[in-house]
Amino acid sequence: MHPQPFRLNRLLLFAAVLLLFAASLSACAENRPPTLEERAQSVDKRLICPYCPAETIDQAQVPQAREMRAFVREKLAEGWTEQQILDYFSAPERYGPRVLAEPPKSGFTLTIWLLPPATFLLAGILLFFILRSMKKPPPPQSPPPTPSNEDDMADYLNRVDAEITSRTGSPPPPSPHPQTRHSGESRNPSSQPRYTPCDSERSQESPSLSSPLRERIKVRVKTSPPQANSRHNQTRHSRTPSRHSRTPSRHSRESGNPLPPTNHPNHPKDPPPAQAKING
Amino acid sequence: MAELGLITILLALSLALYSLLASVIGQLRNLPTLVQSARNATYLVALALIISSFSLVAAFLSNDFHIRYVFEHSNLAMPRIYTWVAIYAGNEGSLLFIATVFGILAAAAVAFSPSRFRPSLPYSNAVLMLILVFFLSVLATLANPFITLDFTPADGRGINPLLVHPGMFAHPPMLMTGLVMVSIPFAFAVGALLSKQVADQWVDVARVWGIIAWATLGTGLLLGSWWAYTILGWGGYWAWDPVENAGLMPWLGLTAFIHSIMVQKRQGMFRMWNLALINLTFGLSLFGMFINRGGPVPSVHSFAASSLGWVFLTFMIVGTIAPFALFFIRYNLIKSARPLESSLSREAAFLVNNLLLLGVAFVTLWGVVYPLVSEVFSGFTVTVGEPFYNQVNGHLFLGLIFLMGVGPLLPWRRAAGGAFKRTLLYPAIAALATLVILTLIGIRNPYALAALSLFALVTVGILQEWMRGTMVRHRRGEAYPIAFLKLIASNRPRYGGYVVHLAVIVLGVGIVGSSFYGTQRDVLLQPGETVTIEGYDLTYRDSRTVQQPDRRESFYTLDVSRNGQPLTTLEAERTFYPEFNISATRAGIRSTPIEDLYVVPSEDREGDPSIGFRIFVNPLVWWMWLAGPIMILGTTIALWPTRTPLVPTNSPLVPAKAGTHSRPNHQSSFPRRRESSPSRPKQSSP
Repeated sequence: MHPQPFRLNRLLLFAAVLLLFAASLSACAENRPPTLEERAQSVDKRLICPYCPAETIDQAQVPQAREMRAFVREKLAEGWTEQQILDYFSAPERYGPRVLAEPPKSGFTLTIWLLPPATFLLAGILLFFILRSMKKPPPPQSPPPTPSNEDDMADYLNRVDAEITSRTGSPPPPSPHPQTRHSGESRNPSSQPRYTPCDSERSQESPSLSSPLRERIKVRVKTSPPQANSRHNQTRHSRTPSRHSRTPSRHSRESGNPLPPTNHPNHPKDPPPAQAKING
Repeated sequence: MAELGLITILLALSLALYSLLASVIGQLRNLPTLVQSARNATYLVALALIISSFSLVAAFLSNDFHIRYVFEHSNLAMPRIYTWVAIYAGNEGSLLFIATVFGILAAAAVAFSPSRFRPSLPYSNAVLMLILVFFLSVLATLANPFITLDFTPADGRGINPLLVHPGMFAHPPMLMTGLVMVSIPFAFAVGALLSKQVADQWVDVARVWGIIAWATLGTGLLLGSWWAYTILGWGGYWAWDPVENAGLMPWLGLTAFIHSIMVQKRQGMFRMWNLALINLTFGLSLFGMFINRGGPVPSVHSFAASSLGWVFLTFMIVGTIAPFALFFIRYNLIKSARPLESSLSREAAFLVNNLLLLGVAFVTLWGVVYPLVSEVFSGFTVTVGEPFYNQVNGHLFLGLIFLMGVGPLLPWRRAAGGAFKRTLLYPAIAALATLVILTLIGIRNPYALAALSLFALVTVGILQEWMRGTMVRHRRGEAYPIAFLKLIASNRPRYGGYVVHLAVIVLGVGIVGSSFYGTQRDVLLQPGETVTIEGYDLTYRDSRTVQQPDRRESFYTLDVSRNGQPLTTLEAERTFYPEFNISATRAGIRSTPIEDLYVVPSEDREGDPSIGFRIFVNPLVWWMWLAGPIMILGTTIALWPTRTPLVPTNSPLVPAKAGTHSRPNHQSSFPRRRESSPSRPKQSSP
């Protein structure tokens, strides 16, 4: 399957050549000058009928519009340019600039043409920065957990319980000892996915892990060579055990805290350790 | 009838006020019975308004010209069926229609919302009632359709002749319905903000109502184009008229909304953005109503013009600023679940798509208000017509179609470079092949070339997705047709969305064909004379005139042949209404998938047998009208209720109490988050 991307590159090159070819073709194409009627129609479409609301003289059916159309053809036959006719009608002593369907790209009305691209440029720059800031991983100093996060917590625990129940068909066991539960699971990673969120797409990799967690994982990987070879598959599954069973000092430091830093507000979906239920 | 109509309006007003206050107080004081009574009041408001509307209909049917509105918009000669148009032909009647539709929709929104919404529903109800109170107070005071005259005239003035068209049975009501329906997702969003339930609960319901509003508005716009095409007699279907734009802008906002809300539904992102977006869309719909009523800019749609401009302007300003103020008060609560991972992902494509859609909406808004800007700042009036919109928005639409081709092929979160290139291979080849073939057959317009190549990109991308999915299922032992149907059933929002995308492509083909390759001729024909245009030979045969009590109808018959082969006979019509001094034309159209031959009488000179005709040959317009049914089909697929919940919901840990007011059928009609948890009870259990 490797050659495929290169094939696409070649294809793009081919496309560029074709485009050039097409461009030269169209440049050489016979440039039939527009007929008088075609020119007249293009003028019609650029003049607003002064007597009817918001219709060009091309669209309007009133006699005055018909007269203006006849005038346009007459003057074009006499050799006037299209711009001369537009200028004639939009002169201040006649109808003024309001008969022009297209505001002139000069003077004050230049603003109508300039504002959209300017705004767009601005919005594009803004979007670029928004995208960049959205991509940035959350700051390592996560704010202290607030009580408002407890809802997420309880919600998550409910889900876990529901999952267990739906698998075993019985209510969850009444709070097994955390150490036994976790050590058992760290030996058997295949039983772990119940602690990942139910979003299947979310569990492919773990780039969304907050950086403090990553640090911790790195530390753990260094200290446990047997699992280092399959880090990507393991990090997510084994992080809960890693925190509690392998770094007891950290565990004791956080034990009074219902929400470890994993539950950064930007990651309410990240699974808090199941142990928190027992602690809380 | 007049008394009944007015009394029911006042009744509805007081009930709406009661519902508004009761739901807020009931929620704040935690009085469930009061909240329930507020909901019942909402249902009664709808009932009262239905009675009021029907009393207006009854007044029309009984020719009760004592009522001023009936006198102004109907007469004895009007075909009875057009009563259904006449009720919204003027300012007062259309307001009553809007209020009635809105009342019914509000009742439906409240009745069908799943019980999960109970904490925020009273607030949403209050918001809906607040909007309705505005309409009803205008109806009761400034625009009462039941005002009576001092005497009873023998006959009425009659309906505006431009409105006597089959399209009028659907186009105005659908547009009005679509415009007010934007308020429903908006009300759920504001309810979420007020009740601080700002996470993802409001999204499901807002999505369903958003899509319904989007489809209604879109169908209304398309029917409006059809009406313009067949009756306004200028061979076109869209003129960027201020009122058309007023309907288009909220539609664009809704399009952006129903795309970006998918990101929140699937990925829990863009929470802030979605709330801001629905606020903005609501603001645009209020702007639409203001343009419709106040008419600060000239438009061909001056049917419902009134002196209510300042009322609607105030409503628009308050209705736009207040939700944004609330949004900023609640700003701290709204956080996305996940950061964006890659610029090459579907989320990012949705974000750019939103930027472009809002860009089109902004350009349109700017064009609509520019005459006022110019008048204030430079002192002279200018007109902003089609050329401006076509030039500026044309580029943005091309960008949108490109995204429509690439976006669906991008995976969520991040695209792996190689896989993405492989997915893009065939669509890109198709686009290039189209480009080359079109260039070789002599199409030179760069915009037409770009648009058609991009259409190929989108179409092949969609077909490829369908084929791949079908193949995978087929390999598991399903026959092709069944595999295809099951594929669509497996992810209705997605595959329904693809069908809608195809509808947009079909629409685009019609627009490109007719705007770049149309021909137009003005001719003056004697009876028996023949004119040749684009290979068609048109012979003007004769005309006949029918004198009706209130109008004079003239029919002109033309025989059409091609290369000596007779094709058809076209009958174009021109009706003169002396009462209004208006001539309405009805084009004679021969429509084929390749091109339309379109003949409209343009000039009728007294005492001269020759008649002026304007003849158009518009390629591919037929496809535009086909886009409507396809779009409705796609929307239906996307919204079709899911029978079996996508995830098990029968978790024993969901508190049994939550089910007391739940309606399981309705609940399942709002598809749950696919990847979400088995149960998400709102209240935390112990």
